[in-house]
Amino acid sequence: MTKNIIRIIAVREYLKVIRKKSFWLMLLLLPTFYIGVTIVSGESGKSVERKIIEQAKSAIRIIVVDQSGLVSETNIVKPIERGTDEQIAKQAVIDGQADAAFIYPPDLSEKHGIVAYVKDDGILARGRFDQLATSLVKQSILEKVGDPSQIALYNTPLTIQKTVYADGQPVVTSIEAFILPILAIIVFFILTITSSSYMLMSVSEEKENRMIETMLSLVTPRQLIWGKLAAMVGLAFTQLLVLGIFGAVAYQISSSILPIAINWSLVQFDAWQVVTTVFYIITGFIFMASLMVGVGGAMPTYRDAQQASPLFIITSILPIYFGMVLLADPSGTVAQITSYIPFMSPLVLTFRASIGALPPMEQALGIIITLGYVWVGLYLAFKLFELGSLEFGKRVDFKNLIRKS
Amino acid sequence: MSEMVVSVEKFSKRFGNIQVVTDLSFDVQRGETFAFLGANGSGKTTTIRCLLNIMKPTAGSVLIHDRPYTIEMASDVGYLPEERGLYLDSNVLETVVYFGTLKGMTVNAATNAATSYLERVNLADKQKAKIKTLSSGQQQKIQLGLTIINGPKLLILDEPTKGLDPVNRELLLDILTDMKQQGTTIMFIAHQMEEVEKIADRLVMIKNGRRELYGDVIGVKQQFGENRVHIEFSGRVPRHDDLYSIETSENNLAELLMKPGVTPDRIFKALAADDLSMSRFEVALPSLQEIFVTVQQR
Repeated sequence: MTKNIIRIIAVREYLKVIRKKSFWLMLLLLPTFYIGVTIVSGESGKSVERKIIEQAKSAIRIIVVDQSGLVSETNIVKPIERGTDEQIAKQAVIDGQADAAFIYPPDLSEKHGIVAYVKDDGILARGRFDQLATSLVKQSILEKVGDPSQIALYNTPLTIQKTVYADGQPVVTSIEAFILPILAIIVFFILTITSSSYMLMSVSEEKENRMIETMLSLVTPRQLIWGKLAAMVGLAFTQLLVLGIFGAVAYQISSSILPIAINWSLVQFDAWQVVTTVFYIITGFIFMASLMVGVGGAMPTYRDAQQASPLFIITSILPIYFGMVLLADPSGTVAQITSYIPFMSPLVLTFRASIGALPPMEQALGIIITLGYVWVGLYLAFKLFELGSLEFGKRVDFKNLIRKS
Repeated sequence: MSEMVVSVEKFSKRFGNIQVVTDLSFDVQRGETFAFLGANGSGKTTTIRCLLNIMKPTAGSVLIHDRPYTIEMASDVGYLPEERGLYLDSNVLETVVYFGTLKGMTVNAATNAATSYLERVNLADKQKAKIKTLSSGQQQKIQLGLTIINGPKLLILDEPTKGLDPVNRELLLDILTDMKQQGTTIMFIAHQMEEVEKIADRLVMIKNGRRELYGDVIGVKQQFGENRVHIEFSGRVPRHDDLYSIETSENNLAELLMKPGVTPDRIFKALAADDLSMSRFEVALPSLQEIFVTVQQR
């Protein structure tokens, strides 16, 4: 009977959200929006770059005052011309008679500094001659080598075929090595952020529209909450499935255009790594969802609950802000400390587990602490729900929570 | 021998420092319609919430069929709370069926019962409509539908007619009367005393969480004395200020309120002595409305 009731609630809650147009709009529009922003941003960057090159090419007069004697004559071609006096060259730029003036001082070899005077042509174009000023010297030096093949080699980006060893075994360093962490973080975010929001909405609305008392005469608070949790897991899998299909299609389309190729045979991870990653994702989701149940139960309206929830959500994704530190040293002090701080630990432990950066002792400690947090989260959620669900139009008195605990 | 469906025994409930219900005892017998009366805030809803295990009693017991309520009993109980709402974005039939399945019905049985109910309350054409598109009266009917979809043996209703227009109120009372005839035990909270007079067999009245009156409706009225006389007459009712005051007198019908210590036969003799022609002389009981006001003000 209990399982049946949880199933009935879960099915209804799942269908309620899945039938909403807003769910599908969010699900499909969000990645589309991100892809759109990335394309627009990339195109915008390229456009700016193109504009800068054009502006540089459209220069009419560039004066080179070479006190170092390093700039060769072959590089002085129109619109570049030689000058002899720094002040005259500078004044020409100030008067608008020249676009730029490069001063190569006599001690360039020691000080490594070039002085440039540049006519302003907008914020983004202020560095348009930087590369030219540097290239004039470098190309002049290369000419002294005299070997065209060596000059060509210098100007060609080199590829590095690298093999990294850990514990005597080669490690995959290409994009394939990051498939599990990337998937883990995506799943974590969908479960904890998106589904938790639906959980908050579900609990708050039931209270706000006064259905909760009728429900509590038919089901226990635990059945109601577990039913909703099950629905949220279903929603998360639906989102993953849709996004997976979406991603696969996008990958197929983009792989023929972009130089991204995933060698699936290199995607390897051991079973324990996957099990612990899944464990931290699920416990992280239950912890976050239980917080949302507590907030939804404690606050009188959905709006109040929405205002209170970002505190928990932001704290839980705070590790992203020091993501580079975690990435650089996933077993370092920062990673170790944040692994056990409430709210932050699910994301950090998920990430560390997914890249296999949790030693056995930390794995054991992580599992114990995570289960502890989940227990506390669920305990508070049920307590707040019990106290607040029938407090229509008012917030829970937290003194009662302490008293009743 | 009558069977106790609801049994409340020395029940008390306290919230922090506030004592809401004190030492309350009453029972509801199988098949009867039982009114649970009291002013706002007197502890009625709290008692019902404890009865349905939504809250825990501080002391005493609140039992259904001699056991604390558990959700396994939901298939035999229908509860319409005072704070009631609906899933406004859901459609009518789905909502009623959902509650039927939560009460242990199969989807088919719940669908059939929901369809019959919607036909009875003239909402058959609204099956696919979203609840938010219905009027408040129609929504009230849906709320009642959720409560009775499973044909419960015990109905607990907290102000069931609140917000209903007279037509829908009559419809609801008809439904309750039908259910009573089918053997359903009904326990209800009401503030409309004429409804209580119309359908209740017995009642308990509380004040500040304590029991003030308890028993069958006639018995409770008799506790407040037979202090009224209804007469049907021709002519004009003579004045006897030492015996009675005339409360109403029109269309040859009058209600006389007896002075304290005066018996009906003294009034009868006085009226007869004044040659008043009477076709009816009847000793009447006070109304529940009067009793309610008296109890709550004393």
